[in-house]
Amino acid sequence: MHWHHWLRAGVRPFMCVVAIASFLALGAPAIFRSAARSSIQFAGPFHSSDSFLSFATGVNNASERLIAFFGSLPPSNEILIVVRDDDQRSAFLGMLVAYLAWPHPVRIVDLRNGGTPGSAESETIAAVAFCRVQPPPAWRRGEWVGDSLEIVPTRERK
Amino acid sequence: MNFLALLGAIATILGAGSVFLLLLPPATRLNIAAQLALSWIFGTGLVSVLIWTFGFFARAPFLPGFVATVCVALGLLTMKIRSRSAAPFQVLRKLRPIELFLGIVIAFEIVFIFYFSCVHTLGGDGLLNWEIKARYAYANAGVLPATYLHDAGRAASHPEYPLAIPYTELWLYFWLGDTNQFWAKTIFPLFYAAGIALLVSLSSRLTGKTWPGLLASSLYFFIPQISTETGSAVVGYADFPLSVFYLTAMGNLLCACRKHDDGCNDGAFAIYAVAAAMLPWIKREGAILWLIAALCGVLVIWRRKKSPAYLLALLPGLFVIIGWHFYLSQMHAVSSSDFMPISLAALSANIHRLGPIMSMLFLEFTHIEIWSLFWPAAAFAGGFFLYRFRWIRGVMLIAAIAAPICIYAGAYIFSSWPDFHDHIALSISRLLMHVAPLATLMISAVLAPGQMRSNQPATFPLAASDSSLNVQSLETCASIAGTRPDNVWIDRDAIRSRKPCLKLWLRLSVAQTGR
Repeated sequence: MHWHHWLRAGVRPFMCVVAIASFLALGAPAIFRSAARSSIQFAGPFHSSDSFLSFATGVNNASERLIAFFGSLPPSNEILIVVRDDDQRSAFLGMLVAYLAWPHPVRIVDLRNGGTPGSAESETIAAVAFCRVQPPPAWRRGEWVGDSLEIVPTRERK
Repeated sequence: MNFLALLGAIATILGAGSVFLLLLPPATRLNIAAQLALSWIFGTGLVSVLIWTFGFFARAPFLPGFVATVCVALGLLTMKIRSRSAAPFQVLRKLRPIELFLGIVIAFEIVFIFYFSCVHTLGGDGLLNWEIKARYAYANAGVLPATYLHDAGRAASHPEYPLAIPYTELWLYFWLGDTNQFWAKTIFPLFYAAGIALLVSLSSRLTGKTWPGLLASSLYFFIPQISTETGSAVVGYADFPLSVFYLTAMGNLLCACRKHDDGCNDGAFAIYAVAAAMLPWIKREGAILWLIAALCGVLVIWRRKKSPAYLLALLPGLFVIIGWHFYLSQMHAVSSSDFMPISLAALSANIHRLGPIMSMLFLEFTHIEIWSLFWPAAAFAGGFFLYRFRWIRGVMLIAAIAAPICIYAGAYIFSSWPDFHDHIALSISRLLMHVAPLATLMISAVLAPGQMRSNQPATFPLAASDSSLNVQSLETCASIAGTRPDNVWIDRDAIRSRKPCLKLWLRLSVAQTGR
């Protein structure tokens, strides 16, 4: 075998080993950090929405509480969700409220774009949810979930 | 109890999906892992379609009952037909030490993926775009409520997205008897396991060797974007399952366009057709992938001089796209406005975005924190793959990887987001995932040593005798050729042409040397 055959035979595996080692060195730490960061929690049926709500409001197990709250309102009436789209957490909290508010129809009002909650006494609105937004001072107090979500029912609950 | 229900749901999906294995001719010898993987991915597609279509006529509790009956019936039918068939049921063959080692590594990685799935929540889109549909459908006796489809307040959850993933989660909910965000995540590690099994299977069919596929698959886990990052395989997004379907479609098309037809090419083409048809049912971008897969299919039919009747295999995908859009239009479904209507005016007004888009795309390719060295390796492998495989297979695989990336990048020209940079930053990594398994297949193909450029079959002296013909088993031939038995066949024409000779040479064609 000529020397260049030996070289070629040696270079190829060497390059493969270097490439694989580089690949692992760059990718593996992030993956093992992720593995070490968390532990298995056999959470309930609201594993994900509870985690998100806990992050957004600081309250644990908030999903079932919100579902029970919305369940006490007339199902055909709308939930008005007031958010600020320039605040990502506000927008995300608004989408979570919309997710949990089923079967109510929802309407999202973005205050940043000049939207207003309008008349909260409208016949079709069951409640107004303020997601990291202060409600108008004249409004009566509603149901607080942590310090960033307040839901004000517009009429008496069941 | 939940665990048993989960097993029931998975078993019925596998039963339903196994019916597509009947498309494979007896000559096709897939190992049990590949068969289970195909059964899983096709099962999810079929079960979700059944729930959707039966939902026009029935509601829970009859709806899941009907679907379960069909699943069990299809599973039994498959078992009955396959037990009659002469096709051997191939378990995993005996592995070499390196293959065994890599196989164990992959098994650990799959366990890790299950672990990651347990510790992570569903991602934002996983919950608010996909699981939301399963939850609302479950609350409405198994049918997605019409009020959801035209609820403008929930337009951000993309009511227009297709239902394969949500209805697979719904199937789990039927079995569990309630909605459950934790158990819904179970299906995603199964897609990962199926994807890896198919990657290894396709790689070994293309290269004739098992270890390159095993090596590439074991490294695939170490891409953070695949394992742990936002949009990864474990957070409930549809991107990873879509990538597995695309891998199955294109990988089998590559197998179907071999010059030598050993009876398996039609089977591979059938699997390609089924997987391609399901692409638009997984995610909206699946329609783009279907279009590319269909064009590649047409190329194969033309170059391999197959009957035009093969074009009919493209119809199911078209039917899925048209059927779903017809349904959405009839239901007056609201649609999110991520993109403006495509027009020349919009193109000329926004063409200046092209530079920033290409710049961000390049940054994504070189973002080693989430992709490691994957894309540079894929670029290198692409050049090498073209050099080795030349013409149809090389061009087809490169096009199948590059075309979706180009189309996705071009689509951002029409982004209607206030800042299109945000749109790109949020979605580009997930879109690149669609072609990542196919790029991994390409890397595994170039890892395999051998003279792939040769178009001449290798010739091996196998049974030489002055007086008698002593044909050895294909397993022995494969052992001599250093490949798997299903890559070896006897060229009977060669035997006939040399009949007068006492010294008999059986010519073996080996995948890596000319298929």
